[in-house]
Amino acid sequence: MNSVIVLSLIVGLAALQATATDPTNVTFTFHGGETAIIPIQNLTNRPDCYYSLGSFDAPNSTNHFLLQTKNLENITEIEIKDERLEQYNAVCYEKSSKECDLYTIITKKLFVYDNILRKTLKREQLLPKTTDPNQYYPTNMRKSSEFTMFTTKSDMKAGSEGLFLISNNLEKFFIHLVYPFAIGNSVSITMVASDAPNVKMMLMLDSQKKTITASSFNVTPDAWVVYNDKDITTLNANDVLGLKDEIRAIEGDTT
Amino acid sequence: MYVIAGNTLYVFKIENLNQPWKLLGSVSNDQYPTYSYNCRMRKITDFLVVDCYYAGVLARYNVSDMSNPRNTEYIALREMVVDMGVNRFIYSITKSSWRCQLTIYDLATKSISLRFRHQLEGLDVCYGTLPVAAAPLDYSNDLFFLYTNKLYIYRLSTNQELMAKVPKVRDPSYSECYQTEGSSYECAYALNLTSYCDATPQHLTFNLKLKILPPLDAVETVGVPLFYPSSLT
Repeated sequence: MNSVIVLSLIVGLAALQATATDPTNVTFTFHGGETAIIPIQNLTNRPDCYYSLGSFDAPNSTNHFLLQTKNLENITEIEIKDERLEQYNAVCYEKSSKECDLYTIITKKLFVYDNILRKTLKREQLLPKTTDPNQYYPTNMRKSSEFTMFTTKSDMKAGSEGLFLISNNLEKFFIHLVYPFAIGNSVSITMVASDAPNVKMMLMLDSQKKTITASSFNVTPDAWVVYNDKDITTLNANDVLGLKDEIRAIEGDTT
Repeated sequence: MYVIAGNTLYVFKIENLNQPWKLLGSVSNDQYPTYSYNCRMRKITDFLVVDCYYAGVLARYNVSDMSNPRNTEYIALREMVVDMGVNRFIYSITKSSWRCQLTIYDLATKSISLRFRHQLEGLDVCYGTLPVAAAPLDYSNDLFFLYTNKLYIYRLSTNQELMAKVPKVRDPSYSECYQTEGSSYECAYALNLTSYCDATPQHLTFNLKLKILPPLDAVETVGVPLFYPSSLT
């Protein structure tokens, strides 16, 4: 249909005192699929302001939104068949090329789905390793400022639990640190830099025992470290910090 | 090392692990609730952000000078459970009117701001709080991931656009539309616009007026079936 339509548009923003510096665009999408972009004045002159519009009922229309923010874009949806993810985390790496992997726990196994942005869904089992006689399996995901990790457990090694560091945002590491104690929910984990490059100190605060356990590790991919008591320093939190109040959280400075 | 004990943030330097750690500075925050003992911290640029479970308050400290940490602000969260993410944003998914509502706070802006709050379309289910994973792809395109029955991947761009979908206006008698010349008519819309410059939303009004002439093709009688960009004046 060759329509001749004249549409005039008046956009006004009430009760605003602003000058146009960095205009926000309004994109009009027409039913023919065409679009038009109209700049409107920045509402406050502040670059960190964002806007959203509430629902709006058009007359007798099934389209109930005249305006909506478009800064959220659905990139893709991935079907992971026949499996229920118990826990997951997606990590994107920026060192060489931008790619994202999906790490999941499915029935005591840790899998990685390689480069999910390309939807290749190539899957590899990371834990338990076939070469591990103790068959450490993942239990819970943990995040620190620098590393994403999973706590691990072995049914054959009672009293020991591990931390499987999968990555930071630059690269994959797969460092498994096995400790001669349990890492319960009352334990918070953080890391601090050491004087030696590539060596970090792992600090675990047990808020129930009021102890801080310290150990060090090399940031080397595919490392597997089994700690003994002599490799670990356990500190009385109140002694080293000199605080009377209950410690609620700790955070290391990794830089 | 940063330590929250009671209502105070302490900054320590570890010189000798077994000896008392050197206290560089501290700052108290009397406004922060103390009934939740399980807290998390995240350092973002020169800021240290503290979230204590179910406290409903997010606190931010400026630690650019470690010997003089400053309590800069705290904001009330509408959401009780948030994912600290790995970068400048924190994420929350909550159930809202049978839909999943996503809220994103930007921790590194001049003041903590609500970056985005929107009801997510297309999700079949929303179990109260869904796990969220977030990852920076680069500064301008942060990704986050939701899993329900499948994995959804979204990109959050720093560029904001307001998207207008002009609906078919089938009923010229709609109270906000009135007939002008012939069969043309005007529709005026006053839309509620929410601005998130800070954590507290500001409610504004977005006024939009459309003057619409019908197509020459008189066969179409249901009003205005199509708009074209070239029609904008």
